[in-house]
Amino acid sequence: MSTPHAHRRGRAGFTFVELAVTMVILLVALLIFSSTLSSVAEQRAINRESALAQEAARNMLESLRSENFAEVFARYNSDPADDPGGPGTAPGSRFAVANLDEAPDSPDGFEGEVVFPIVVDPVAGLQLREDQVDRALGLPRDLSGDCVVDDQDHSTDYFVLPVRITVRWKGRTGTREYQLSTQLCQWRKLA
Amino acid sequence: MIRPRSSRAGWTLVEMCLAGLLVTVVMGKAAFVMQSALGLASEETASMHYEDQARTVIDRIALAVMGSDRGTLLPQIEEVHSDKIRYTFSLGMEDGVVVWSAPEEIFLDDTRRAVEWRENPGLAEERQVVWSNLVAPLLQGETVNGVDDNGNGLIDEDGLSFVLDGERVIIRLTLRRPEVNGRTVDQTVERIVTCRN
Repeated sequence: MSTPHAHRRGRAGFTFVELAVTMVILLVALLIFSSTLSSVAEQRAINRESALAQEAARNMLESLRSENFAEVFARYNSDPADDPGGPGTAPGSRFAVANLDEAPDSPDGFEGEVVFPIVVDPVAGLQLREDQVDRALGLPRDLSGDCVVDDQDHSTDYFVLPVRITVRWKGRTGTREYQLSTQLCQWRKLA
Repeated sequence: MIRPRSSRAGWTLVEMCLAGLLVTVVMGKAAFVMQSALGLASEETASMHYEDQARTVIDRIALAVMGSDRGTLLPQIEEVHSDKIRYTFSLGMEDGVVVWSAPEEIFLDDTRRAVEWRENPGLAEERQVVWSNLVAPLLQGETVNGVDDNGNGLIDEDGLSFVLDGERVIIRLTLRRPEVNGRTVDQTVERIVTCRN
């Protein structure tokens, strides 16, 4: 025999608590879904930034490769005084990268930089040195082909030129950096 | 005194209406948020897809140009953009002499809006392959007005453009998704290559 109470409960539908629990569950599910979408979007943006930085570094490397090898150091170092075409006529060490924002610590608003193993001598200025210790650039190593690693300036007689291209930018997750290290060398076209 | 009905009666019509309204509003908002999020995600997915495709195509073009000899590139005019490039590349050495490939050409087919590769162009044994379609008529940000709108130093350049700059070849490509819901997606990639042979 069913009581009036049991009879009523069988037809009562949702209680307020049930409805509230359902809504909470739905909202939590929505929150999880939207945070997943947001994470995916953020990861995509990060990947895109990385791709842009890599592309810019590769493009700069190709630009270095297209130059007269003997002039690469002079044209792309940070000293405008030694530019082969006259002071300030060469591209220099810093360059802009499209679609990336400069890092907060960027000194000039540019994102990219070409870095050589140098020492700044107070008298002689910028020196290309083969006695620097930089494992990523394969240093120390003989840059001039005389089979000796010395502490001399080889900015005019190098036959191997270690170079690092750094792109540093303000990304979604803070300041980020991409580095490409390689060695350029002189090659001769066969007839 | 016990109120016999109120403790067991459930909701009144007004409460039901209010609850229904509340649920409808919340669900409606949730649906709107989800729809917007999905729309954005779909837009981003399309954008990524076109960017990937553009990078793949420009990598193929770059590799082809990289293996060529700067002296054999056509057209030879520097600082002027072209929507095609003709080249030959080194197949190796034989008896101390470089063996060159048959001439090849990469160009923008204006009618099909496609990047196409052609071997032995104009000859009987010509072969042609479409590398990508959906190329934009003009590079991103450019309009046909005789002015450099996108600030890259070129005027009214096509969706695929080659510029010879000294030993470098600058390749630019814009892919455009056909309009969906009144919006298009443009993806532009740029690559600089130096001929290796």
